[in-house]
Amino acid sequence: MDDKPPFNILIVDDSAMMRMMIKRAIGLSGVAVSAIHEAANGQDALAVLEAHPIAAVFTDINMPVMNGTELLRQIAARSCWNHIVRVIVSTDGSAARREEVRDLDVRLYVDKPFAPEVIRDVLAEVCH
Amino acid sequence: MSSLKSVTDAIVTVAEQSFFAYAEPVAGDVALPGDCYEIAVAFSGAFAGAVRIVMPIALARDLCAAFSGAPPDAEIAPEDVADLAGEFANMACGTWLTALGETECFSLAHPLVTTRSGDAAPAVAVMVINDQPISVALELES
Repeated sequence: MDDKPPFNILIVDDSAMMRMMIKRAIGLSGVAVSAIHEAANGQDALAVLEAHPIAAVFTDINMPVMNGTELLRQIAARSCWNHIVRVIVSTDGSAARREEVRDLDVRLYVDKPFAPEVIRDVLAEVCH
Repeated sequence: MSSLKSVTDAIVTVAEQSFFAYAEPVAGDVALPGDCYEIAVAFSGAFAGAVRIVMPIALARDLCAAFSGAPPDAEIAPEDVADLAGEFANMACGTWLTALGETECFSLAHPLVTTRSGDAAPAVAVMVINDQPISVALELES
């Protein structure tokens, strides 16, 4: 019996095509992933986090309803989610935004546009 | 460098890095075909405005196939093509704003994608992506 906890990933982006792209890149990475969940905004992402054990979140910043920064604040506010690896995937790579999320325990910041290999390398790093 | 030039530079970056497409500005007027998407990405922060891109639906479909790794002749749902057109403009706008190095965060609204005829596209700047024309406009709020 495999006693390893499931490695579930949550992808948060308001573009369905971008979520598909990230999902595809995760699939091509060769990293063993149990399930990939998706959400179109931070509010929907919180519902997924409440309902499923999630090991890593890949989130955009600019999204309607609830943006990625607020989502990360909400995750940081819950000690039961301390273990969740947080990765930002965003077109907003500005120094100002990076400073804004500096205290939100973001492991990696991926700038869009990105090559699929970047997601592979990110997963290899967060799985260590 | 003019703001519009830096926007078109960002479009080149996005086209090449994420869509494996060749893009370059062109001089003069280039006619856009009849069926186009107009994508508007509104932004706010240190300053506010919108980037507007008009692109042939056929080009959006080709970019979608390239982005998703689908064969060139694959059937792609129209809603996926429109979504990808919006994401293309979103990435271009975000890449441009990031490169400006402003000290204040900027916010991008969800891209607004509508269909229109290319005939009356406002052509402040014209580019070609994989030999297909697009028009680019930048609106800044005073």
